[in-house]
Amino acid sequence: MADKKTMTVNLSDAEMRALEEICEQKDLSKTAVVRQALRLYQLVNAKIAGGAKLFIEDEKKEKAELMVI
Amino acid sequence: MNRAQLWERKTDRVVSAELLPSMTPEQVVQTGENWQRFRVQARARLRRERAPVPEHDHWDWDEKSHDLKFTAYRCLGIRYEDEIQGLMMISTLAVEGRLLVHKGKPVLYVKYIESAPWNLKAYVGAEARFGGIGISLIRAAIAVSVEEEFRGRIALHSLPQSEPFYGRFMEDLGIDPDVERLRYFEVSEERALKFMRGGDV
Repeated sequence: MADKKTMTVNLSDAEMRALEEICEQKDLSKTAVVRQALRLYQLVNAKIAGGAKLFIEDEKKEKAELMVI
Repeated sequence: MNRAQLWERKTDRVVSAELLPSMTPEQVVQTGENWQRFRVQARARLRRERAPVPEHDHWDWDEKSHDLKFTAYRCLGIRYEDEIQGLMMISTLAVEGRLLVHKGKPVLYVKYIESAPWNLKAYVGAEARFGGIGISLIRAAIAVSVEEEFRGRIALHSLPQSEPFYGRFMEDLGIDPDVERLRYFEVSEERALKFMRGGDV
């Protein structure tokens, strides 16, 4: 894998708790979760910029459009 | 992890090939073009002989290479004697594990995996040059999964022609109605660990 860079991130207590909760659920380090988030954001952002829409489907197969900035 | 062991069928010897961990879009496009030239001739012969063409014959690596502009995707390759002998496109944006023991855990997804056409009996019969490409690429996918903290968990949907191959070392979770009715396979952490220790498939 390519060389990695290190950075400091400032998060609120609530944001840090959310990050730690995801780390716990997914059994990943904070770095790995941030990488996943970045990959997802980049992909979704590009698709939406290209005219695509993002929907979330619930268990009843009902779809709700997600607004992503 | 930057080497892959291939079996040269003609000489019946194992050769050490180079594993490319992250190919550029240009390298992938070039490989696709080289393979396509070979395929055109092989396909013509298959038609004359009224033999079936492989199910993935239409795969277009030029088109697939467009995904490489996203950090979610990587293409790995195996190079031997200046030729790419196999390609694999993976998504490091995790999917959720479907095996009961993996529920909710991140899994690396193998989008496409292909051997060069001159290595496939379906194209060239007994003239096929190298074996062991699929298994070397799967081993590399497991290594990336470990690197990404997914503990070796990987998954893929298989074309019908490849189901017996993946069924040898992956858990078969049946036909997926949401993905072209292809069969879904997943490698368990335990199996992945054996793989990484160099165990048999």
